[in-house]
Amino acid sequence: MLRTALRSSLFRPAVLGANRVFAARFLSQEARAQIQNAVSSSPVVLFMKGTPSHPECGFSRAAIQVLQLQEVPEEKLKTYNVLVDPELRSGIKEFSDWPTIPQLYVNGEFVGGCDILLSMHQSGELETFLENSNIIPKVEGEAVPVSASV
Amino acid sequence: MFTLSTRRWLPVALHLRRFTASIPPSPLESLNKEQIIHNKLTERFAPSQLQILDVSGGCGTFFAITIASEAFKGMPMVKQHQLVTRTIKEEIEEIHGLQIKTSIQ
Repeated sequence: MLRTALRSSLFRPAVLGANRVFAARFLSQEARAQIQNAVSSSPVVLFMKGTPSHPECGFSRAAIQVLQLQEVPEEKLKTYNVLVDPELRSGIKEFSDWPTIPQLYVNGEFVGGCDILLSMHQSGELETFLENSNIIPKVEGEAVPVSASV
Repeated sequence: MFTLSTRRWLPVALHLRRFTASIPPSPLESLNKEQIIHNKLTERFAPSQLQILDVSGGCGTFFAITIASEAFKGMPMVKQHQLVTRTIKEEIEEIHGLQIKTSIQ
């Protein structure tokens, strides 16, 4: 669905003049609207390579594992496999101003890629963030950093 | 003439040697890429720390970038990363992937 819409709109020739800004940005307003729908299609949206049960890239695997560790409920999580949708794969990079996959959105806001997700997870920041975003229930007490020295 | 050309090429040659040491079957192209990224980031951020590691395991187009700069002060991490990736946008289009770690100090 998204695929077809993106294909028809992404490669339209650029119109000079009033639309020059958009043309220079490559992503048409229509494609942008499609992706906007995708990022807000669920409280938590992950653009990844592969699927949660079959990630096809180590970074996407790490990202989905972190979300599972945080016990993000399945009904609040939606994933898009960019490998089956080349237009989405390039479109989302432009949309987020982020050159790599995976990409995480929470409540329609871009959170970051794998590096940021991992570092937020390790510092305990992710848990707090997901709690405050009403994704996971609040636990009493201070957030405890996940990593610890032995 | 000879002196001039040596002076011009010696620093470049030294750089190449330093990078070659960590990448065994190094294609010249990836060396250049690494160096271009290094130069661009240095110019843009005047970093107090900058490390660009080839972590591709052979293909030479996957880099781990560690960069510390005062320029990131007061910025959320997403913004910091975006500043970096915007600076090396052209290079990123040609490589397989990258990891970024930014800090202030």
